[in-house]
Amino acid sequence: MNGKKSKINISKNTSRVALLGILSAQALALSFIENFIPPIPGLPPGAKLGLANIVTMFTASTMGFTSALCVTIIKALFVGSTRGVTAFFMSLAGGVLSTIVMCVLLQIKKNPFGILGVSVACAIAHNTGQLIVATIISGTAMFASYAPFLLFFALVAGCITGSILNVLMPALERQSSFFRR
Amino acid sequence: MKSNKPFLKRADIILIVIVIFICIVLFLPNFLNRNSSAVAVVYKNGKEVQRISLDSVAKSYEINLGTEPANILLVEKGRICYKSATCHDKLCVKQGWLSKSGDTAACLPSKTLVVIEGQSSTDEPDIISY
Repeated sequence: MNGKKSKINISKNTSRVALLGILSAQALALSFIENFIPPIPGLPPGAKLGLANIVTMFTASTMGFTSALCVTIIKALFVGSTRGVTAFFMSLAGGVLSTIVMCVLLQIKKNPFGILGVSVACAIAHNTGQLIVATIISGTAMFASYAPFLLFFALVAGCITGSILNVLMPALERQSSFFRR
Repeated sequence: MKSNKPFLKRADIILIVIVIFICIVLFLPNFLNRNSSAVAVVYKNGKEVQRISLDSVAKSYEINLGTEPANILLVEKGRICYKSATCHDKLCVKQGWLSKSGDTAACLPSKTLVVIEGQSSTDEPDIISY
């Protein structure tokens, strides 16, 4: 496999763009698949797992902030083109905020958080961003009453996505190694 | 590249415990304030447009909010819901019946919101324990 890899003669930037394209496609696929998961009774409708965060987190931890932001924005554009402008801004705000939190946590010296902690923090940041946009769009502060539900659900969703990322890490690493020179 | 990043560290557990604690603190007022004399407040574009005392509703009726996408509310004795909406995801309709203080349903595309507020009657005890 190594021999095959060394024969491909492409620049570092090109392979980076290619890998980012694949990661973005995976994020889109995950956010699409997410729509097929039936809503869990007792939870507010519209609450989602944020499966795309798996890919964003992987990108942030291995390729840095700019790359993760790229994936987030591409995902937001996809959501915007399939579900409308409101969904675009919701996705963008949540995504960008969670990417920032993610990268800040990953940059901390000695990195006190494991995958699970970063994932929970991201999910909370994502919901916070969406809540802020919902408040701005609707012009009322009444969505604040959703906050406790969203916080609790972010905890659950963060744990689930974090666990999935932990399982998928080796596979994602292998995938990126094809593009690394 | 950190390929073997630890899954769980002590800071993670601390974070999760703190979040659970905040959740409990935020949920408490919801549970303490629930009483039957509910008032449904309807907001449109962030402004209050209607206030319905749900206990005094004798016969169920519908309200057309006149928004785009259209929203129709259904009011019954003690409860209210979004009956239908022409928006894409219909999250407001899926929210179902609202009856207890703190219950909320919103329709983002049409910028409407229904919140149940508890009647703040001061002569009633907040909570009774035996």
